[in-house]
Amino acid sequence: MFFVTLSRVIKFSLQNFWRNFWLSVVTVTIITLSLVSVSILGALNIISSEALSRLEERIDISVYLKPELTLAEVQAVKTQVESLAGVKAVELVNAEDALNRFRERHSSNPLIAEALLEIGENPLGASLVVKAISDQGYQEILDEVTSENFSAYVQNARYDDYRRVIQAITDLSTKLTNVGEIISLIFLIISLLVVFNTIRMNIYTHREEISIMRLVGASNSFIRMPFVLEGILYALLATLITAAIFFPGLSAVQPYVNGFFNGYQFDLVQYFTEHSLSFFGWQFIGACVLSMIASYVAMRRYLRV
Amino acid sequence: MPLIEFRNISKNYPGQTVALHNVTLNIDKGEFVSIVGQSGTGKTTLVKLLIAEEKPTEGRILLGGWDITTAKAREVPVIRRQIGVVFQDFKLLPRRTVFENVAFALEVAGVTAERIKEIVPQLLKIVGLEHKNDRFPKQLSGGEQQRVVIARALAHRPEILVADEPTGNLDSINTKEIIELLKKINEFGTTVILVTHNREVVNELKRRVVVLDGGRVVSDQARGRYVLS
Repeated sequence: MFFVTLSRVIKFSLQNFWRNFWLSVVTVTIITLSLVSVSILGALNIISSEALSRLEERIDISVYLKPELTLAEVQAVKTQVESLAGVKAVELVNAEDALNRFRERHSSNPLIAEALLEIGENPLGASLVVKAISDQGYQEILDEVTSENFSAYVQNARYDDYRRVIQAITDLSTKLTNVGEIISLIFLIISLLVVFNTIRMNIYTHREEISIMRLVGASNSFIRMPFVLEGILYALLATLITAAIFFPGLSAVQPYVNGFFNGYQFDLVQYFTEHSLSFFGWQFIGACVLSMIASYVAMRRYLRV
Repeated sequence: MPLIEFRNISKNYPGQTVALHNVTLNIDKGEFVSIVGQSGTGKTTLVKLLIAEEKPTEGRILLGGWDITTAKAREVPVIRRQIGVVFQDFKLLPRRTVFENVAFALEVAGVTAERIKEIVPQLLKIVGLEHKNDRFPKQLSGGEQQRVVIARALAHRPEILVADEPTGNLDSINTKEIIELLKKINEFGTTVILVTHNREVVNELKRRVVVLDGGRVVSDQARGRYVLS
């Protein structure tokens, strides 16, 4: 009996959908717009947090050691730097690797290649790449490695300060998130009102059937369930349409994302494909909750059972 | 024990309107009772109270000993499956065929499609519409539409059939047919409560007649006539 009743409830909810087809289309469209705005917001958050973590990875201090140091001395300096407070890791780049990296970085500049040929020998010394435990620790480490204590070994130390860029991205991302949240909220409120109105209209359209259902002894849940399922159907369709719009959209913006990441590979489509179940699953649950709240309020107000 | 007991029932509507005043009435199983009275005397209110569409302001209504005035919302469908109801305005679904209209009562109760295919033709045979199961309500006469409603009301094999002005929209020939059908249903053992203000119908029936006036029972005769107070 349960499955017979369930199949009839599903049938009635599909009838509700088809009998007010254009109203259903409008409802699904509005929920879709809400979900698309939430998805864009999600994508922006992912991109900005990815960008921030990539930038954080790039923060380090390059400590260039004097070329005349022996390997033992280089190792000793490395150990000394490692023991400094606030240091997380120290990577040793030997002279040969430093030269290779230098060549690679300037491969498009023939003058530099010529100059290296002129010199004949490796002009670069080994270097240490120092990572701090926290962003705030870099300046102290830099001050230490450029102090008198290390002057016999260190030729020069450089610190690429990405903090301003990070701050700028954080600010931008916060602003975009705020705007996105407001837009999403507006769409969510509109969705609530539209679903409420659609269910109200459906109750009105089916008033005869509902009154007969009551008369012939249909249970309250049997009368109400089609409207609840209708709300879930709107949420499901909206989620599917959002996914269908979202992935081509991601493919379209991928080149711009690549440009933004300047050489780093970050495949948005792949990321969202891998996380699609949770990403759209939560959106579906959210849309269901929204639809069910609106349906519930409409039924409480207009469906007397 | 009576099948239906109205015990000191009063029903007041907002605005000091008294629809029923201290009505006490017992109806036994298998009876055919006509409840008569002029418009606004509380006949339809009595029906609404019996099918638990409304609750009395005072008093109790017992259905087979069950006090339905204290019934919870989830118990109301159980009451309504025990009482078939026929109204003057038919209440048929215009987009459904005769078969589908009768089947609807069974569908909403979770009866399987196979059982519906067995039960509906039997019901249509009782009301004499077995050959019109594919027709839509607008293709039927008023009397035929009312017969479809009666078939639908019988879908759950109710113990009680309440007909509220079933002949109100019908001509004399159709009226006679519907009354004959109600008598036939009563002969099968179903308690029939006929609410009407049609004097001829009541007088020809020669069954129990309860007369309401101003929300009170003014007459209750076993083989009564429609007497205006």
